[in-house]
Amino acid sequence: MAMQGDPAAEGEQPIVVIGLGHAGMQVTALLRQGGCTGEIIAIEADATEPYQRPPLSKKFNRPDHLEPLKPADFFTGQRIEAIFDRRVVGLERQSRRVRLSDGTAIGYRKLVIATGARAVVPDVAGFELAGVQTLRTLDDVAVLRKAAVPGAHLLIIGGGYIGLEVAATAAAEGVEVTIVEREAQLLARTASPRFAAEIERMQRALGVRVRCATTVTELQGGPQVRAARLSDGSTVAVDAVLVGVGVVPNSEPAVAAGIDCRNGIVVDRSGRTSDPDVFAIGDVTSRPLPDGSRARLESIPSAVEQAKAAAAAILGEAPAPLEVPWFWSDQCDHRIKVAGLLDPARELDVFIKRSGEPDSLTVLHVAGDQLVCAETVNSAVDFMAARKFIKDGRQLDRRLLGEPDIPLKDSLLTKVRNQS
Amino acid sequence: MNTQQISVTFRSAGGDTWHTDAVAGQSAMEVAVRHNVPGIIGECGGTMACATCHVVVPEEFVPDFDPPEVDEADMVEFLDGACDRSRLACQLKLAPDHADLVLDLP
Repeated sequence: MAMQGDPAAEGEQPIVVIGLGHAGMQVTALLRQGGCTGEIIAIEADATEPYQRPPLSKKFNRPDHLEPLKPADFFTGQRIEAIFDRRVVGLERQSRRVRLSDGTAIGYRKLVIATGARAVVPDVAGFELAGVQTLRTLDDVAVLRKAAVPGAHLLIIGGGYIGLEVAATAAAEGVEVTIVEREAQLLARTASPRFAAEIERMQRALGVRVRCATTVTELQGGPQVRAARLSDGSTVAVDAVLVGVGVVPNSEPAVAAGIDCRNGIVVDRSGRTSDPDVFAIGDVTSRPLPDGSRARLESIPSAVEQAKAAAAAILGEAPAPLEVPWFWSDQCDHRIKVAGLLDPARELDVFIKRSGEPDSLTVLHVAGDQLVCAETVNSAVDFMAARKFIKDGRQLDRRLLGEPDIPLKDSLLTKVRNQS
Repeated sequence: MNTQQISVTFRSAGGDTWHTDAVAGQSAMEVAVRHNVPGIIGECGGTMACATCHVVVPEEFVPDFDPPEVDEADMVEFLDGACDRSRLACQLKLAPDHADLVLDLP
C-alpha cells in the first residue's frame, strides 16, 4: 500500500476506488481490462463481499437473493487490494490522500468515488418503531424476510420501483400488501400516467391495494409497529412497513473536501468532478444526459456506463458518446424495461403497441418522427428496438406507430424513392 | 455436481484471445466475468435484462447449443454487430461435451 509522505513513490501512487457497489466494482474490472497494471486499492464500508442489489427487492423471499457481484477469487486474480469494513472519513485533496475510519491514510494518483446513496426515512412520528424498514443492503433484507410472511400485513410507503418490486414478490407469497403513494399516480417521478396506470392495474391483479394521493401521518405501536394512520383519516393494521421514498447521495466526504456537489457530486461525461484527479460514478453523481440536462440516475446501466467512461479517462482514452438512459424492473412475471427519459414539462405524442406477449404493453413517446422514450412491459423486442432507434435518431412512420399490432421495429419510415 | 474442466477461449475482433477454464453448469457469461474478459459485463447477473454479454458462436459450435428462446433472440436482434449466430453468453450453459469451446466477442 502506498503510504503518505513517500516522495519516491509519487509517480507510483495507486488508483483508489471508494465503494464496491456495481459502479466501484465495475471500474476496477474495467481498469484492469483496459491494461492498467499499477496498484488498485478499493475501500468498502460494508464487511460483506460485493453483491448484486437487484435481487434484494425482486426476490428477497428466495434463498438465492444473495448473489456475489464477482467470484470470490476476483480480487486476487485481478490484483485488486480490497479493504472491507472501513469507511473513508476524510478526503485530503492537497496531499492527495484519503483518511480511513481506522486512522490510516492512503495516497492516490486518481480517486474514484462510488459511495452510492442511502434511503431517505421521512421525519414522521413512529418511523423509529421495530418492523419499519428501508431496503438498500443485505441486512435490510433479513428484517424484511422475517416480517413478510403469508397473511402478514405489509405496508409499503412510496410507489417507486423498489416498493413495487417488493409488493409484487410479497403479494405472490400471500402477504397482504398495501402501497401508499403521496402523488396521484405510481412511479410519479419517472413514468408517464398511461404507463403508471398499467403498472397499477398489474399490481391490483396481484392482490396489492394501491392508495395514491395518500400519505402516512403516523406509525403507531411499540416497540413493534402495529398500525398506520393515513392522511384520509383512516387507520390500517400493519405488521411491517417498508419505506421506499427515495435516496440521498453519500456525497458528504466530497462536499467537505470542497468538490462541487449539487444534488450529488457534479461530474462531466467522463465522471470527472471539479477536481481533475477525482472521479465519481454511480448513484452518488449528478451526471450529464444526452439532451444536455443533468440528473441523478439511480440505475445499474448508468453506473456501468459511468464506470466505463471513468476507466477510459483514467487510461487516457477518448470519451464514448453518452448512452441512451435505460433501466429495468421485474415485478413477478412482468418484465419492465424503459429506454429514454421523460421530461414532464415536454409535450409528446403517445402511441401504444401490444405486439409482444399477450400481457405486453409498450408506451411510445414521440416528438415528430423521433422516438424519445419507450416504456415496455414484457416486450424485449420493442425495448431493444427503442434503444437503437433513439440512439440512432431513426425516423418513424406515425401511421405505422398508430397500429398497435405492428411492432416498433416495423414502424420505421420507409424512404420513398423517386428514381426507379 | 460435475466438476469436469472445460476450456473456453474468447476471441476479440482484434485477434486477442483469452483462454479460460470452466466447469459444466456455468454459463459462458460467468466464465468471462470470472476472468475479466473485456466486453462481457453481465450487469444484470444473468437475468436477460441487460444484453451486455453479447458473443458470437462460431459456425462449428452452433450445433452444441440449444437454439435461443424468443426472448433472447429479441434481445440480441438490435445489438451492435449482431448476426444470426449472436447469443447472450448468460444463456449459454456449459456442458461436459463443450470440451474446447471458442466464442467470439463482437
